[in-house]
Amino acid sequence: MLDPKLDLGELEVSLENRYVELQSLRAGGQGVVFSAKRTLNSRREAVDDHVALKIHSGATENVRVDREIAALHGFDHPCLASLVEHGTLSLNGEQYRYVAWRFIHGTALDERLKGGPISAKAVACVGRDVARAIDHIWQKRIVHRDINPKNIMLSPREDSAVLIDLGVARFLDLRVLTAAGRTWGTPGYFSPEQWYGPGENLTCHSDVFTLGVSLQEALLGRHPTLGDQQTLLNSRTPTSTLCPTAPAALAAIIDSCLHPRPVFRPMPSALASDLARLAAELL
Amino acid sequence: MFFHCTKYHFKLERPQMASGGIISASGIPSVQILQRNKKVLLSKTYPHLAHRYLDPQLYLGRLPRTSKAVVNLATYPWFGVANQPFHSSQLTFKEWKQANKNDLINNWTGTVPTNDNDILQAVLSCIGFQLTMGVDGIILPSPLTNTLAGNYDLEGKYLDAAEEACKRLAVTIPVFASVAFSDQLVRGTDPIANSLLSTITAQIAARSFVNGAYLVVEQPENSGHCYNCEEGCLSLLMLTDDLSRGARKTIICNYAGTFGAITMAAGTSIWASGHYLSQRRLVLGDSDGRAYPRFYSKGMLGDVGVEKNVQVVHSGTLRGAILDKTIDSTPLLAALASGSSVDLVPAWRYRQGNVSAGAGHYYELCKSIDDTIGQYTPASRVDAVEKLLEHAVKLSGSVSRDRNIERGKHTDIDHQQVWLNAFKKWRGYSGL
Repeated sequence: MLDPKLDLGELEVSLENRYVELQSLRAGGQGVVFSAKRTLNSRREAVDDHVALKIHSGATENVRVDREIAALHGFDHPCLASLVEHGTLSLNGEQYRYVAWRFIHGTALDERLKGGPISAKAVACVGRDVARAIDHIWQKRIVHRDINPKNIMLSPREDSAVLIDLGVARFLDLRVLTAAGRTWGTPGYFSPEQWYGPGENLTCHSDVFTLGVSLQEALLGRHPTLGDQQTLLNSRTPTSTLCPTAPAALAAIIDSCLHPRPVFRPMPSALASDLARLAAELL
Repeated sequence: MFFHCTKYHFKLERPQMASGGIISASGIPSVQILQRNKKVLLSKTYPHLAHRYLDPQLYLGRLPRTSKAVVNLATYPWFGVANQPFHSSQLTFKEWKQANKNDLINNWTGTVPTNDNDILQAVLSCIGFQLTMGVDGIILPSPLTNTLAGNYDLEGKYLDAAEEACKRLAVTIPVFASVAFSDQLVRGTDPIANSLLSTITAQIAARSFVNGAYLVVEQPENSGHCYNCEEGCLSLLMLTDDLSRGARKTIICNYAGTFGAITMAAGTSIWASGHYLSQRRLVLGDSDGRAYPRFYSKGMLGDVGVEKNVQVVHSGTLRGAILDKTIDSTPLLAALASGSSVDLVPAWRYRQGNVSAGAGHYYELCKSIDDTIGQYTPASRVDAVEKLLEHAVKLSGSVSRDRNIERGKHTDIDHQQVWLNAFKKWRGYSGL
């Protein structure tokens, strides 16, 4: 397990000085994320770009890292994190995988929501951009499977968003990964088919559902069922009831994302268009 | 819209009865289909085929060599069997087919492509062929879904190959995903809890290049003229509803007889059928043979046996409700009314191959059922179809209770309640 309080100077050396000016951003079960400047070589010359560097916790994370790398490869979309490079480092005799992606200026949506809900317009902007990201990855038949506010970066002006962390993304032609008999993802955000089904053959409509939950949370400033997965699937409380001040059109779009039957949910491309139109109309 | 389920015989006596045709690859060799696909023939001899689709029937790709359908299927490039070229100046179709028959059978693999490149080649050839035919829309090839273990992965690969193929071939006409599943997968289970059905709909709904779905259920060999598996009927209704109302796809339903018309309540746009047994159901290994005449009843949504039961029904009080008057049935009904018997009406005499009048009668009633259901708005159609089914149950019950009716004499009196049960369960599921 990686110690979040590790010595940053030691870490820079372990990274052969390819990454400097490390600053810890957040730590979790999967590893630690740093802000860093990438250098062109080990002589710390010509710092050329700002990255988010994730050092993964240990060998148990390897499958997840490989998936994220495979998923991020070849993607170049403004609403998705762009992979810069990846590798392995040795620290205190242990091997760790790291992934660097282009730094996204802003705040993770879950952090932002600790200060209260965001505006309806910002919700529409988040929905628009994440829907675009879902559409883009689905063109490669990839399902993110873990869309939630923690994996959505909100820009400082709250008018755009980037989807990050494809670590549990599923390629349609690969068998699903499960750990201890459960499907990857975050409880409280699972789509019905992800929760009740075998977790295989999910489509973009599953990501649309989880986006819908995240948008409700962004409107409310809290999870719609306080993180309770079963209640989320059973209650189906309309957005207008949860948040009576939400614009009716926005509430209706969010509710369409949360339809229990996947085929009744909008395609991400259509969802992005509808939310873009709405975002332009809202003040 | 009612379409003719077209096999070898393209011609309809009254082509205005069908709005178009869905030609099955198993019914005719590829070279012959292209020969018939001429403007002059389509406008004069087969005018209903101005609107046509080709069912490529890749779902029959696992048939054994012993199946009669193999010879025709093997002439289509997506089955990967080498063919001798056909030159009309040298051989007739019959001679060509005879000369090639053994090769076609021997080279039949009884499998479908499973690796990415082979799948793409098969799909490219299939779409290219249909474009050459000038079809209204492309029916994409798909293997038969007959196992839950496959988890629709292979079918998904075919869909993705089709997306690539449509791009390469610059397809601009509507594209339909074939959904061909075995009723073994749903029989005896609760379709509402069947994850395969939701996987199928989810996979099709999530592919925006697909405009619609072409639904076919493979039925067991002991199936009669009317599909009577409640779970299978319910599955068809659920797939139709989810894909049409949910994913906004256009639905075509084939090989379900007049149950295809019932699925209009759930959103089917085109349903196809034909008079022969092999046009009303899909049973692996079915082949066209010489049939006996059958008398279809619109009210009962099933056949009344011609050899005896038509006469029995005619002598009862329900004749007006059961024995529909059509162009072809008029002479028969007139004869019966005057005290004559079926055997004395040549067009209806019960003998093998004497099916022209029965077929014409069936097509006129298919059109009539289609018109009846089609006149309702989608919102009022569900109630209207349920009433039709309740009426059919009532009539079939009366026929069933008639002591003079001979059971098992080509009189369909068992499926009506099955259809109604499936319909009511679907209404409960859909909330309509």
